[in-house]
Amino acid sequence: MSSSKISMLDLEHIAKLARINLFESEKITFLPQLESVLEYLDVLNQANVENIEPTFRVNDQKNVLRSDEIVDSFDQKTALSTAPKTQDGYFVVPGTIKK
Amino acid sequence: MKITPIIGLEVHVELKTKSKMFCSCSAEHFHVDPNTHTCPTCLGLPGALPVPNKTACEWCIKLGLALGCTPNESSFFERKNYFYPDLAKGYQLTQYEKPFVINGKIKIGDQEVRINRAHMEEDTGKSVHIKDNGQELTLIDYNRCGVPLVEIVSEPDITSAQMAKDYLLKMQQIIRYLGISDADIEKGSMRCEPTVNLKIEDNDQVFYTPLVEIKNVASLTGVQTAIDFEIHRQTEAFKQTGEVKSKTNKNTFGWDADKNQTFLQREKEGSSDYRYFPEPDIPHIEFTKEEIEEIRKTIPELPDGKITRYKKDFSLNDYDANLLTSDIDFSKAYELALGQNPDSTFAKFTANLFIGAIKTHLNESQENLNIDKINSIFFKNLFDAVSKSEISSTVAKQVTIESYQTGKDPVEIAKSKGLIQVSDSAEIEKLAIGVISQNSKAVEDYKKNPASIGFLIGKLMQASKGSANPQLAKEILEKLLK
Ligand SMILES: [Zn+2]
Repeated sequence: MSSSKISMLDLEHIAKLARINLFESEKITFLPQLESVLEYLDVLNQANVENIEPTFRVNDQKNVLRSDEIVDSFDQKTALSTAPKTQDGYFVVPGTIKK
Repeated sequence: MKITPIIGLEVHVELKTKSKMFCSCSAEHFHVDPNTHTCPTCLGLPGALPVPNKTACEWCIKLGLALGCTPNESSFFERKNYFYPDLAKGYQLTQYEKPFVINGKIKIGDQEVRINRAHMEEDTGKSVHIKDNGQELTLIDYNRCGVPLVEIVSEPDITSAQMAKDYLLKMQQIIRYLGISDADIEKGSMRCEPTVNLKIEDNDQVFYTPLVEIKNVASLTGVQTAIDFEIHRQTEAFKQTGEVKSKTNKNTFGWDADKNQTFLQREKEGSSDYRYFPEPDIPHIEFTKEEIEEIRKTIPELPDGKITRYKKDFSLNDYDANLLTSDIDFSKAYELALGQNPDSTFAKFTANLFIGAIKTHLNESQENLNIDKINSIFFKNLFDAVSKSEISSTVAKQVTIESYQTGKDPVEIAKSKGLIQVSDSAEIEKLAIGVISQNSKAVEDYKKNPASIGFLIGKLMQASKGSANPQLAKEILEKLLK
């Protein structure tokens, strides 16, 4: 997008993708903030990148792979230790199927 | 109005590597206590670094090569961003712009389905939905999260539900030949998402109905029924609304296997909503031409090649060749039984025993084939005995099964059970004389009506306890009664 202006619809869409519920008042606060971030980054659009290969990383490493071997995992207690809620060895989250 | 279904299939296959795709946790997740195969990487903890499993990458390329695909010179992983609790990181590592392999094809009968790509990605965790004091909760097990998954995307070249089923069976067969996955649809190690729409030709006008992607199809019959349902639904919807495909009206439908119908599941996130971007923590992957050729060498002879060879070298018919090659272990066992340079009579004989005896036995007993129980010499002995009419073809099937179960020579089994056909003329003649003297009434009947000889043959067979060669018995009786 050449202009940094984003609409309220864009903002709501982004919030939806991030699964964040925003109050109307928050949307009004966030919209100009997001816009200013995009404006700041707009400077990148001024660079001429025609015929320039994208840079994915700054070193030229490649083929960093591992062999198919098993190393011990966390035990169940450790795996669940930072979860706010657990049950029978599972992580518990709010229901994800909408009826 | 002419209606042509346009069907593309996305197939996901879970690879049976020992460890996960980007970490060294065990990839086993069936009948394992929940959350016992996890680590900082597959739990998406901050700072964890993913390192791709080399075997999984090679197997993805191996599958691609088997499907006639071309490997990309350079591939890389990308983050597909979406928030769902079964994916701890908030993104799935997958390949978007540069998959490992592209542009293949698969033969279905005399038709061809083009393969767009096969790429490497990771599986998600498993969710269990429960109700607790009226509250909907979801339990998550991350043992499956990060298990290597290959996605194979077809071009929309499939034109019927039957053809979709045939495509899946062929894909499953090839994957099992390669030994890279169990490809079990019921167990979820092979999953399929059909995308369906219709081309409708009506008085020189052509319409395309909106695309529908069908999720949650968990069986082969499910795939067929779901596609047929969707073809019917879209035909009716078009007649009523006339709505045609646009850039924005692709929908995701779920498949309800109990009600046998599809239902609108959610509006699909467009690919731009996934905000794909290259995974900064995994350098590009480049396999050299030599390495690709090494991978190609590990591909066994595939079903199509085997079928052609069986038909050409062993003069087998299409049906038999297909049955023998349906499963790689079964065809290996068959080839083992044949030994070196079999002639086509022996090959056909052995094919009949494999299909008529061994396969039937395995189906009935639900056992898996044990190739160690196949002994080429036994088949050769049996073939010789049948050629010399010492053993009937019915007895041959019976003793083949017993030989498979006990490891004994089938001809010896036939001998010990008195199932060897007597082809000794002198002995049969002795029995025939006895039968003639004891059945004077039947002899009279025969003289009036030669067709009634069956009765006397029956008596002779009885006297021999079924061991006489019936053809020889007939000839000797006829000679004596002349
Ligand atoms: Zn892990």
